[in-house]
Amino acid sequence: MKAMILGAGKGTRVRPITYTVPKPMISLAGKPVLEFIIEHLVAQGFDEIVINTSYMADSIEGYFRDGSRFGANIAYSFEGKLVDGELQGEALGSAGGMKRIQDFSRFFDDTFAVLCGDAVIDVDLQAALAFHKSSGAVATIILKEVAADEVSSYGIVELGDDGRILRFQEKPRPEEAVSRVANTGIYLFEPEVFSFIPSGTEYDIGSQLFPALVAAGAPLYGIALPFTWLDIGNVRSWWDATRSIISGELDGFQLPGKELRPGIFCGLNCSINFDEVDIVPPVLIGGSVCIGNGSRIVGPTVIGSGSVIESGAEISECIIDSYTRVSGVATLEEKIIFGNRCISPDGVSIKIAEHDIGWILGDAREQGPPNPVHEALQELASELRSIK
Amino acid sequence: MSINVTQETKVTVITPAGRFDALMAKEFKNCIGELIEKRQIMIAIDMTAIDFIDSSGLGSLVGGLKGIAKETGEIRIAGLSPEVRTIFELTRLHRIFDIYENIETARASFV
Repeated sequence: MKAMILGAGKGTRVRPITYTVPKPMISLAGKPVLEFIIEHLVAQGFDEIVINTSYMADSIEGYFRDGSRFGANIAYSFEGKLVDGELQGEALGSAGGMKRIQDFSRFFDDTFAVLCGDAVIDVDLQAALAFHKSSGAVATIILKEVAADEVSSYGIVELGDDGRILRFQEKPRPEEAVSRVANTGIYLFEPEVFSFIPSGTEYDIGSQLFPALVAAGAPLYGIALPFTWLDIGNVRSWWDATRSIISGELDGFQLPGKELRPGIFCGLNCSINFDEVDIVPPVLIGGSVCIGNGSRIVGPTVIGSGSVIESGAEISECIIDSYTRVSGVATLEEKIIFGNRCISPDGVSIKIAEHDIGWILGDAREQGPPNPVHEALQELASELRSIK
Repeated sequence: MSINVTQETKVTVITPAGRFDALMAKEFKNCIGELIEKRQIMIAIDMTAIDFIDSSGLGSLVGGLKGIAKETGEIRIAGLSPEVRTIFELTRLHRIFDIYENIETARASFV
C-alpha cells in the first residue's frame, strides 16, 4: 500500500536541535525517528512511500535513498529550488505537499496513509484501515487518549457515537476540553480528498483541510486506538522519548550494541575499564568511545560514538552527541550536548564556543595546543578545591 | 560595562553589569585588589545584571575567591541567570562558590 510521510517542516519548536538536523532525522538511541516510522509502515504493509522534503532535504534523502535497505520503495517530493548551488526550501504545508505529489504523478490511486515524520509509533494501521473502509470515510484521523492534564498540548477531537468527527479544539484548557482524544498526525485518506485541496499553494491538513471537509459535510471520521506514541514535538519531549527508549520502555526495540553490564549497552571498539568507572544504568554508549578512569556516569544517559569522557568527569542524565569531549572537571546534569551547544530540557541553551569553555566541552577530534587561560583556570579551581 | 561597589556595615556588595568577559575581568581583578587593601573582605556579588560570562570572567571570579580566601574573607554570589548558572554548573564552580537566589539572602547570610 501507499503512504506519505511529512518531512518538510523546519522543526522550529525543536530548535536548537533542528539547527543541525531536520526533525525527522533526530535520533533516539542512535536511530532517526523517520527510520522507526518507515520500519513500522513496512511491517504494516505500506511499502510504497513518498516523503516530502524541504528543510535540510539532503540529510533525509542521503540517509534513506531509495528505501531498499529498509524493505521499502521510497521517493521524495522536494519542495524548494537550487539557488547558487544551495538548496532553498519552499515548503507547501502538509496538505499542499500531498497535492503536489498528486498533481505530479497521480501517485495516490487508492486508500493511503499520511504520517508526520516526528513520532515513533506502533499503531495497528490495519485495524484503522478496516474502520476507515467500513465507515465509508474520505478521511480518518487516528486518535489517542491522553491524560486529562495533557489536553492543552494537543489538538483535541469530539467524536459522535459512530466515530464521525463533530468538532476540533486546538490545545484547549483541561476544563474546556470536549474530550481527551488527541490527533496524532496519522491519517488515512481516499484519493477523493484531493478535490478539497487547492494546487500550488500552502495548505495545512489540521487547520484548513479538515475544517473544509467538515464544512462540506464530507465523511471525516476518527478512531481512538491504544498505541505507543513518542512525539518529538519539542526538546523536552525528545528528552523524554530518549529516556523512555533507553530505559527499555519501547516494546520490541533492541538497543544497539552489546549489554556488557545489566542496563549498560556499549558499541564496538570502546576503551572503558568498567572496574574503574562508576556507571549507573541505563546507559547507552556508542562505538569508539573512551571513558577515563574515575568518571561517574548516571543514567538514563546516551554517549554518542567517538566521544571522549576524560578522567573525573561527572555525567548524570544526559544526551551527548557523537565526538564530544567532556573534560575531567566538567559536571553535566540533565544536559543535552548537541551541535556545539549545551541545552537544558527546559530550553536554556548555551553556545559553547561563544563562552570560550572549550576546555570543558569540545569536539573530540579537535587538535591543537591547550589554551593557557583554561589551564590557569583549571589549576586555580583545583587549588581552591583543596583549600575548601 | 560597569562594576558598582557599595560598602555596607559589614558586607561589601559588588554589582557588575553587562558582559563578564576579559574586559570586565580586568576591572573586577582591580576591584578585588582595592577591597583587599581596604580590608573589605566580606563580599557579596550581585550577578543579576550579568547575562553573559566567559572563561576570562570565570577566571577572575576564581582568582578573586582565591585572593579573598587567603585574607580569610569570603565571597558569596547571588542572582545568576539560567545561562550563567549553567556555566557555573558545567565548570563545577557551583561547588566552589556559595551561591544564593538573590542579593538579599546573600547579604543576610553573612550575619
